[in-house]
Amino acid sequence: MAEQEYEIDLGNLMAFDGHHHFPSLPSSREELVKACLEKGTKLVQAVADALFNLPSIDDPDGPIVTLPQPTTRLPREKPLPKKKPPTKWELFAQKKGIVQRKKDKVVFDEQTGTWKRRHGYDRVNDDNDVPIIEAKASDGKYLTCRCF
Amino acid sequence: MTSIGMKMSFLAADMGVGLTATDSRTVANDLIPTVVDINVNAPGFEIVFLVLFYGSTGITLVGEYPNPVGYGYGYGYGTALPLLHGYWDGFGGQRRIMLQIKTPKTGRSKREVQKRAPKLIESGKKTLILHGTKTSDVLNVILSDIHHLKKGESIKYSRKNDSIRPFESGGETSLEFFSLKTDCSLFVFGSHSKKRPNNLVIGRTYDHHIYDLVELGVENFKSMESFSYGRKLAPQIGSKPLFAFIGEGFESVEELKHLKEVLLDLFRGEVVSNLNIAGLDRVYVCTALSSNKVLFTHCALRLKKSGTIVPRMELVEVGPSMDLLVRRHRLPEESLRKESMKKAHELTKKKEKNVSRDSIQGKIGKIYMPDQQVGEKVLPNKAKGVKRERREAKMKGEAKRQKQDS
Repeated sequence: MAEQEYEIDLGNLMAFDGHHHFPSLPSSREELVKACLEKGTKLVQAVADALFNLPSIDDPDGPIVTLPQPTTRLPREKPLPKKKPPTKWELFAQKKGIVQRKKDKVVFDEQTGTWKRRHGYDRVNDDNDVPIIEAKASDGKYLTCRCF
Repeated sequence: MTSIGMKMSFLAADMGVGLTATDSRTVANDLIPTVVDINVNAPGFEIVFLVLFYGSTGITLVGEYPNPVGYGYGYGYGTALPLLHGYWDGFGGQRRIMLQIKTPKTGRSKREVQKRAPKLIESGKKTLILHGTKTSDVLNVILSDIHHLKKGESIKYSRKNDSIRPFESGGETSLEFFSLKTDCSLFVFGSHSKKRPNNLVIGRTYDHHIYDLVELGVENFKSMESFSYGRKLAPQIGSKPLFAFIGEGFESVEELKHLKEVLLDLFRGEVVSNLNIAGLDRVYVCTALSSNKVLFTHCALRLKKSGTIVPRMELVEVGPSMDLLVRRHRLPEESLRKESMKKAHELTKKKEKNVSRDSIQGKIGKIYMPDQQVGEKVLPNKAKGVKRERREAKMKGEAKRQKQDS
């Protein structure tokens, strides 16, 4: 048939045959259903052809394909979100040029030359992790020193 | 709260929780009025506030009638946090009311409100399935079948609703309210009468107001249970369906065009970008038999081996199969349609300028430089040599002084 062009919307996995018409409806319901399923099979095959020819990524469950955006435009269910006005802090930060920077959980320690965590056990630049700590006068009770 | 010449009515709806009359009265007395229905054209003010007790967790939907404005949250049914405080004077006429809208205070309520807020990219419309005063056996089975087909993204109400008449101007308020309460933008309303037997009204809402409606009559219905097939063929819940629309009627007849759009919207599920094609297992086949009749059936897919990468498809009827007769339909208003079809500005693809690709050199970029006028501009006389001169002059001066001293 020359009019084999079905409209295929891959984003919605839809195939539409706009040229088909029943010249005479089949008398029995079963035949009608069979005819519809036959046509349906052809359309579905067309969609599958297009789908399986898309570039796919292999996955243990099966080939994963990136679908294009649907071509039939359907209405939204809610209006577009409105932009919220910037807060007082946001305005101030913009004016001053303050940039938000995220701190990493792991920091490179220059001393040991390894990556250490920023907080917690065995952290970078720990105040207590110094080989020699000078004693204060208040530590007197705990530091016994025999002075001769 | 009461003022002179003010009409105040209170509606407390018990959504199956088991409220008593005393509870509603305590709420009425404790509450600062929450939702105010401002009917400015009325000779006096009529304030209607509607308090709903939803479930035992105590989330109360407090909204204005007919269009709820926001949510109030309470703990345990019996209390409800006020959402709007209204200040008004007791005089009728066209006075303005100042309203303070309260925002949700706890993290939990904030998250709930955010879930229902409008999003840039929408996906996954929920469906509300309900019925009117009278239903037939066939209709009951149809509604439950549709509920099963859309498991996970549909809500089925079991009570009968007398006041819903989708095609009449006043009969849609309940529907809009339910759509707001359940956050459903699609609904399927079944009813049965002598004039319209086995009637299904499929409708969509935009911003919780009726967008469009299609009224269908169902004939020759065969339910999901009447089909027998191998167990392995059964389509999985939540799988993305394929659609096959057959017939020139879907292109030429207005009503069938509309029906095609509505059916696509109803059954398509979530819009996904990555799809596992081995998991395709269902098709909805719609055939236009005449200018107002459509044969709708749901089939399972069997992928069979063929010589090529593309498997051979085989359709096996599994699900409900019915003849849909289009009775009435209401298309959306032009202004509403335009608004709902708007695309967000941020989503339009941005063109990368001044970048091109060459097969030999690869990615090439163009940089446009302003005319630098090399050689035309006068250079400043800031040569380093000047410093040296000064230094030498200094040294000369010092040598002279030394000579003078000695």
